[in-house]
Amino acid sequence: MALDTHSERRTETLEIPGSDLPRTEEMMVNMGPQHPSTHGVLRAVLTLDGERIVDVDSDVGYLHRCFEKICEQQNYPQIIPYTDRTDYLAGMTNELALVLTVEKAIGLEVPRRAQYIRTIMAELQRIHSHLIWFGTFALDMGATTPFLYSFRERETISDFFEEITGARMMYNYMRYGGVRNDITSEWVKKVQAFLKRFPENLQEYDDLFTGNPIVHARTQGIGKISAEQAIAYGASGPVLRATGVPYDIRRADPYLVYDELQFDIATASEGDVWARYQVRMQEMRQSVRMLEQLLAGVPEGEIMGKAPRIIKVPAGHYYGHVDSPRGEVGCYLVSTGERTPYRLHWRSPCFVHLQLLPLMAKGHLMADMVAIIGSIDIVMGEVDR
Amino acid sequence: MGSDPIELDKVKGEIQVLVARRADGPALTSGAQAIREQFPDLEVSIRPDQWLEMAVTPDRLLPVAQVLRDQLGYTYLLSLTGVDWQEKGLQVVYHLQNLDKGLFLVLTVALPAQDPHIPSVTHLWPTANWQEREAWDLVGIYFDGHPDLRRILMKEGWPGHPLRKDYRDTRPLRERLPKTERR
Repeated sequence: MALDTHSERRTETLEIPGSDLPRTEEMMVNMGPQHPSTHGVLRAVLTLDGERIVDVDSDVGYLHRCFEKICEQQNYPQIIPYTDRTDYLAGMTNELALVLTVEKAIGLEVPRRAQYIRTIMAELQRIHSHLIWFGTFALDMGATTPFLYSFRERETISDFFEEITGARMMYNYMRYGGVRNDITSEWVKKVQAFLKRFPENLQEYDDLFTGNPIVHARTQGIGKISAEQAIAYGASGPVLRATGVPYDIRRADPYLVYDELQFDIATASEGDVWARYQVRMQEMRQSVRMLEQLLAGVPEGEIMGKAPRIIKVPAGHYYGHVDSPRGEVGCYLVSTGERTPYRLHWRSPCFVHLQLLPLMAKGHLMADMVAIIGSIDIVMGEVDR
Repeated sequence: MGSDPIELDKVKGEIQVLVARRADGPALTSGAQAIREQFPDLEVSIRPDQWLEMAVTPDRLLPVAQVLRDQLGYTYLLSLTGVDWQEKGLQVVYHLQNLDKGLFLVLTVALPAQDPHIPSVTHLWPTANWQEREAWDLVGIYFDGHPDLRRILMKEGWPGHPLRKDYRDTRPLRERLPKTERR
């Protein structure tokens, strides 16, 4: 077989009866749980026909820490730090999912300044998380340099978080009724200065990576899903938006001050790895746009509302969701009126997205698996909880 | 805003499905009315947090879910989980969304405490696959007709279902500690 037919064959599906493609004996290969490109401890059992993927069976649960069971033993303020540890790359948005659900259930007013600060933190977190994704995704594809560049900017954002919350990753910053620490005008100036030069950095990433023909060859047409499939499989966030569905909770079910902000929902229509890549790169630009508006208009005032000393949620069940960098983080809270939740279910986007893996990978080469896993942007801490 | 679809100029990229903003007021009431017309004998309530809520019995789940998805547009299953209400039995909770109209619906199904069986909705919403496996693994609910009902987060052969309220870890303390902390 001539080598030049290779690029045409790779997008074909495998099961073609009567096909003249040579078939070999199927073989099972373990990818992970200690594989560097699985971003944690994902074990994917691949069924291979030569280099081509016939089936994928994901094995998760290596990081299971009984998060939901632990929450049943803790009172409400004690749960906040645990939510940081579900998706450790987007702690702020995870805390938000919990505190917004509880605040809605007990009818707690949040001062406007606190709402602004929360939105600023959530959007900084989005850039922070997407930068890690960009670096590791490029690393997965064999490009080492973008990783160093993206971590340079990520360090700056980590410093911003550290200055306000005291932590670079596990913030424990949101409170029922507001936030723990106030931001200062110097901090605002520093972030604004960063935002001013960040688009240039993004341009740098584009120069380094986005225009590279090897990247195009390895991402376009790989791991493709349709909009119908994405909706049926419950995809959310960039994975869903990359199929042309503009579903963004910040617009569809607005929370905090997103209603007052000007921003575009980043979408792409192809639904492949390349589309997901573009959506995330666009989202960073949109986050910059939102942050500029937010930082220009932070109102004066309190950062904590009148929260009761002891939080008791009225009996009933509540569902709250926010748009995390990875997708929809849902918090389902069942209360019997006690100081601890009766049941707390964490709907994590990565857990749901991993189900799409066989759909995305079938018929592609084993090397594409790395790109596909990278494009879902999984965090195993969130999958296994 | 009601149920207006998102303005197209607010969106970058090619659009295949329009997504509406969360419905409230009359749009929400008509959403509830549409369900009532399909199922006159079921009670549909509007919650204070603007979610629709309805409860069905396990034997009616499949016909109701089929109509909800195919005729009422609830194509998007947000979350599926189980709750253990101890002597009052178990409960499975579905959170659904109608993307076109911006309607959110929570569907609850009560199950007996002994031998809880419920039909699987995997063929309607494929996303239910892993979420049902998780509910089986952690809460111990049998989803009949599920293609692959295995444990997902706990390892195979784990005794009991950890999110049951009466679950006790029966392993000796020595086994529960990680190796480094053993003496």
